[in-house]
Amino acid sequence: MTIDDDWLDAFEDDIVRLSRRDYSVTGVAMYLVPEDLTGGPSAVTPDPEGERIGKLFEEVCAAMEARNGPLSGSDISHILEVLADRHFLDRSLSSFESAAK
Amino acid sequence: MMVLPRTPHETAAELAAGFRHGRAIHLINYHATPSTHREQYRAQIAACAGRFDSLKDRGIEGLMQGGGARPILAPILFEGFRDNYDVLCPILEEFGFVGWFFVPSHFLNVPARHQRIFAARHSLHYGADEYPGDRIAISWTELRAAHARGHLVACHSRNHTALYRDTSDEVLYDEIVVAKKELEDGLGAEVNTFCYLYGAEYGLNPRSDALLVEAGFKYLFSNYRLQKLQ
Repeated sequence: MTIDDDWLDAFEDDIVRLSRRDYSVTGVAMYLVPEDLTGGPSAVTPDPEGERIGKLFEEVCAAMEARNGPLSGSDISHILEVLADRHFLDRSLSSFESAAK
Repeated sequence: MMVLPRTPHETAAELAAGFRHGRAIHLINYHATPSTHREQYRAQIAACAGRFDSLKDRGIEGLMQGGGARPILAPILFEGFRDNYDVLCPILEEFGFVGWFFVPSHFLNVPARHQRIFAARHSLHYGADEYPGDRIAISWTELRAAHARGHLVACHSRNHTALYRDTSDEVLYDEIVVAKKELEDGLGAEVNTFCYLYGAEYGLNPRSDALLVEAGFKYLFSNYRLQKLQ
């Protein structure tokens, strides 16, 4: 996938929209990476979604760094949050928030 | 404030590699879950039904290892608020899911009259006060009941405390060792997962890392990773 200016604009718009929510009462989709620090052989079964999200995450990080300068920890959280919101389901998980209004 | 053991650039590279060679763990993070938002939560969880397996079926190792036909959904219930039990638990159970309660153990032992000031002083944020004059924390009885129905419980420190490189040994002991005992005593069951306020990860503070292992925690839940410690 090519990340052009329009795509990145839309992604940053999603960061702004999602980060303005009231996190104290909102269900927020998020991805985590499993990490085994015990040194044993990995029992992790790779999955296609992990590979797809990893590639997209890498590309978005590179595009945002190129546009805005070095990433911060908050940037990483925001990027993962948008990816999770967009990719958990066929529609964005945050779209269900209107059900409460 | 979030503090990382390595630079954000290095962290992002590690995470990308972790996703590409491992798995993406699916969470929905909740904090307070007031009844005013019940339909929102219900719509979210209903949409996940049929798409995800329950954490109850495959547990934390299932999250770590993957391998099922469907990914596991881990609804995370941070802070130990009473409305997690009253509002979100029934929704999760209706659709066959269980939640993972991340509880600052001392919050549950604070008398009801003082829970709001405790919350204000310890970054425990909630919306409208739905229980005026009454407790806002989940009770031990409710936590035990949820656990008995298959919901998971993790230690979210003792006083909802963040980790920094210079956090003192005394604070670490209270927030890790005492918290584990307090939570296990109240729950009546072992708790093997820990999470700091702001989600510090392994490697930030070697004294904390050693104490987590010594205390018997098996997993550290952080901002970007679920780390198996032992």
